[in-house]
Amino acid sequence: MPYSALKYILWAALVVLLQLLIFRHLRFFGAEPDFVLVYLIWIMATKDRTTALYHSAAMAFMLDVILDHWGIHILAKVATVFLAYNFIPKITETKLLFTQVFFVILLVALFHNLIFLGVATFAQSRVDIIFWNFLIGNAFFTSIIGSFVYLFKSN
Amino acid sequence: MRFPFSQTKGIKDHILTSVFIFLGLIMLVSRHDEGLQNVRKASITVFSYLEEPLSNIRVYRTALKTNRQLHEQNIILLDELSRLRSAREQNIELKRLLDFKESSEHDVDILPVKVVGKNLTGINNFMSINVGSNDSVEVGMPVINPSGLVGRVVDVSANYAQVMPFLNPLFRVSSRIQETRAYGVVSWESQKLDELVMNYVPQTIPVEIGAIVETSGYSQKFPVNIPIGQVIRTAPDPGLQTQRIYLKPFVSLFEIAEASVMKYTGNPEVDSLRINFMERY
Repeated sequence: MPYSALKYILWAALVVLLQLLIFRHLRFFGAEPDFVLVYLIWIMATKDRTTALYHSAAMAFMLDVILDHWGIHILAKVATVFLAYNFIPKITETKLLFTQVFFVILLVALFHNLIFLGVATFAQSRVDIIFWNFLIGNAFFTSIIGSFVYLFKSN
Repeated sequence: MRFPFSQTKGIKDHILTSVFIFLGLIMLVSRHDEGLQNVRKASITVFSYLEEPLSNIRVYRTALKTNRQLHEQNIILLDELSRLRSAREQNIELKRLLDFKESSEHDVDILPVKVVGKNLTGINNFMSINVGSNDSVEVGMPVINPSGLVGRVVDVSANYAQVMPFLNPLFRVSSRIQETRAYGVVSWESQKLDELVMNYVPQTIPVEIGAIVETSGYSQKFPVNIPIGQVIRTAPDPGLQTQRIYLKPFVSLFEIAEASVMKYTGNPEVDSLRINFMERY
């Protein structure tokens, strides 16, 4: 296995672990950040689409199996990466401002959460109770976390 | 910025996406299949291992609060116990006079457990506990805590078990109102995180606010008399002659850190009679 592939796998596993052990428990008014999505946006902004798709499928599969969601994360994350890839500004081309990063993550997170809720409804889960919290709350929380990670990383 | 679908080399990504979406759909459709049960068991174990260190923090955080609640509950229960003792004596005597057949309803082992993982996001809520098939825990066993019903075991690995709490749209429990003994089925409507609903109670039966709802034991899935919640309001079922009784559950799943598994598996004789009846009619 090439060194770069191994490095990607380890990073992906670490991000999933961080999401499961830390970020999933940072609940604020019922909203929780999706650090995996932040990492996928960073992959989309720095790597090619094929790499981003592999990352999204592998990480979503891990989340699905561990959180007993079975397919909901895969469908939501793969569809988000596939459809949003061309609209994500590439970090290698330009250096983005804090607000730009915030709004990019917010839009992608809103789009992802909408697909996630749609798939969850299709999977016979009633999502009325968490709809707005999940759609808006999670998206805002994810963008705040993602923007600060970008800020510290770029500094 | 590039426009989507403008590159022919992107065909590989389209195929890859289709494959992953197809895989996701297969997982979604076949998630309740028997074939996935072993993977589920492995996932319960992994999830529980990951969450176990955090559960210790949860236990310490809730310990003081639980201690105070139990202390208060203990005083109330001691008072109730003395009254119940005298009522029991009277009950035994009356039953003896009527030659009433006695049945032991709560004669089951109780296994204390620690909640090692919780997923109460609103989508497919579940909890993990630190006992499994090695501790003789089986699928279907009820999970309770001193306040009342928590849920039931739905999957078991060697050292861990997955619990479907009452805040799950698939959860159903046969129940009755303590005062009137009116029978119904309690479930969660995914509307509020602190509200359950009891269905199938006729509108002719008066239900008082504050009445206690407990398990009826009729389904053979839960023993009788486990408290579930307290009535907070009622509403007529539109177009039906039944009413909807809304309850506030006694157990707060978001705060729970410890619980107990009741080693109750129902009465197979009653179950077989019911199956025979269903097959015949």
